[in-house]
Amino acid sequence: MLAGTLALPLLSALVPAAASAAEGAAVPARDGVALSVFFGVIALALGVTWWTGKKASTTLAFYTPGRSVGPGRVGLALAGDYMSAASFLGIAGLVASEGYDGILYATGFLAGWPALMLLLAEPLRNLGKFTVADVVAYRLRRAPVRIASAVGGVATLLFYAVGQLVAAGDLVHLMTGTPYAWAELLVGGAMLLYVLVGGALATTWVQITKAVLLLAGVALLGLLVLLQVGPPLELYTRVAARYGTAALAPGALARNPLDAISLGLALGMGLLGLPHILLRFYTLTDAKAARTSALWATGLIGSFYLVIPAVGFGAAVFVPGGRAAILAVDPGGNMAAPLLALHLGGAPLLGFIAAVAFATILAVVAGLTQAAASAVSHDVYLGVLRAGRAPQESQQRVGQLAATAFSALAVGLSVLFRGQNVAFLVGLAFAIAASANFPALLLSIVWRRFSTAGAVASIATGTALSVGMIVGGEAVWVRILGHAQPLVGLANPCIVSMPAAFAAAILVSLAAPDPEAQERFDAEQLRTYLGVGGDEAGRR
Amino acid sequence: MDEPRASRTAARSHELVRSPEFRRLVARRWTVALGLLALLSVAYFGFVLLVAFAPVLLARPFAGALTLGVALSIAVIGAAYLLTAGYVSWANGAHDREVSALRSRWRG
Repeated sequence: MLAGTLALPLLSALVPAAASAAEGAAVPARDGVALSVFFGVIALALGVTWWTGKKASTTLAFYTPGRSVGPGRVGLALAGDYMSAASFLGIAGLVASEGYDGILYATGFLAGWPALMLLLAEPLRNLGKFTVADVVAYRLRRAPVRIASAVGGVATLLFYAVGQLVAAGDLVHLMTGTPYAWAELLVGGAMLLYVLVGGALATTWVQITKAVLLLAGVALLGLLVLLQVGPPLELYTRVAARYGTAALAPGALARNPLDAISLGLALGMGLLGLPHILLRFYTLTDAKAARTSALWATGLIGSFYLVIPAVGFGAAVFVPGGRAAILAVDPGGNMAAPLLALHLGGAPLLGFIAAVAFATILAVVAGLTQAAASAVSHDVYLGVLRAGRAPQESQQRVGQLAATAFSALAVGLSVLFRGQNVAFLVGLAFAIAASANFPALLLSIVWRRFSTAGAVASIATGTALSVGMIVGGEAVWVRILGHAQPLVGLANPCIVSMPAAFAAAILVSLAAPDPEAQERFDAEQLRTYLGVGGDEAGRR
Repeated sequence: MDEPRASRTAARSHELVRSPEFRRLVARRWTVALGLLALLSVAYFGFVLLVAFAPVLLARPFAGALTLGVALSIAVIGAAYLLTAGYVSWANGAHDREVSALRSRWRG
């Protein structure tokens, strides 16, 4: 039923007709120099990926940085996993178009890191093997937990990918003038090719390249803004002079306090349920390396999110036409940073920034596709349907099918979500992550009486509530389905869906206990806190 | 793995997990982690609550046109980093020494 209602706007978006001709006028770029820099930098980034991919061909080498790589570099790779072009473009856009409210995203996206470190980093390092389900199901019945956890994981990854793809579509549309829906198909095709042919996407070096490119791009823009304004505080004076002091204080968020709290919760806790980040902790050599690397990552990500608001304010002040011009190019404001680049550094800088953003989006979505594919092929197909035994080729085929289906779904959704701010969309993905994955993960590590039924109930409740409330909320019900009023008043569902997932976990675990799992908790604790036992105890 | 060996391992893990040293390690780890988490929550969720309920306070000037709200957002990022650094230096030092002592006891 839902698929039917969504298919109509999807089809109409793919028919170019009048829409693209009308909006062509608003796009300022399409310049030969910008385009050659754009494609040149993308080709270079893909070349690095391909080259490093050839060097690390085994699955083990995939994620495992190995002992030869120091914690600083692993930290860069972790930062590369996490920092996304969508958060860069989205936050800069929000700050440019709405002012202060965008800053909450920057702060929230960092605040998850200490929480991750304090609650999950070492247990993940000590318990994890391939997927999030490994940890949740450590002492529970494998099959039901794996299925539930694959569903929760894929839902999270899908929404996260949609946020990234909307940004990529906007970029390609801005740079080449290709109608948005076709740009999405193009990006989706490129990402699928990258996954199916490239293979080694999550290699440490790809993520390091990505982190360096993004940090350099953001730092460069921040520096250019500073050079323009002189003393840093002058930037705020100019913002206040042009848009009033309201731009430097909470606006829409303060009008809906519950929404602000819900968003803050999602941003702060979502990281603790993001499969593609959690997986990297499995590969670190010891707990000390895990902590030091995560500290490096926190520092790098912190500086990234400190500079982005300045880029956003810079765009509001320096892009000719200001907010109105930025919103005319894209109603989500997502193109604020590229437009600022065009104004401060001309066509070459626009080409560079757009290429950095695009190449990093490609790397992120490819990684997301891969994580989703392995949840399906490893957890569901191999673990449940084939009871742990399946030839490598058939497992690979299932993975490829899953990757294709995931890309198609992500592209379709990103066409529908056009014109929405991508940091906002990533915030929705964080709400799913914080509700579907995080409660079950945490309780499986700390609570002896956590049971299989409790885990399944928690993941099912968290996934269904968060996704359902997003569909009934402003983002889908009003902006995509065209209803006048949302069914759900909250723009971000986290404040309802995360506590509900915890409650379901606790109530169902108490109602349907799992005595065997309680007995195995001792062995799990040894592994959680000391990194020994467990494996040797014949569990796996 | 044969049955008797598996059950011996289970008995050994049971014994170590119930030992006062292990209990103390776990208790201290969570005291430190939850204490720091409480500080983080005060900083971050305190900030979020101010955004939600005290926009007027956050609109006050802090330095020139820079508002208290912008300054606080920067301070929260700094505090989050410092908390992480504090935890890492504790865990990589005192905590890790206790962990390796217990680990060698397990390996016998």
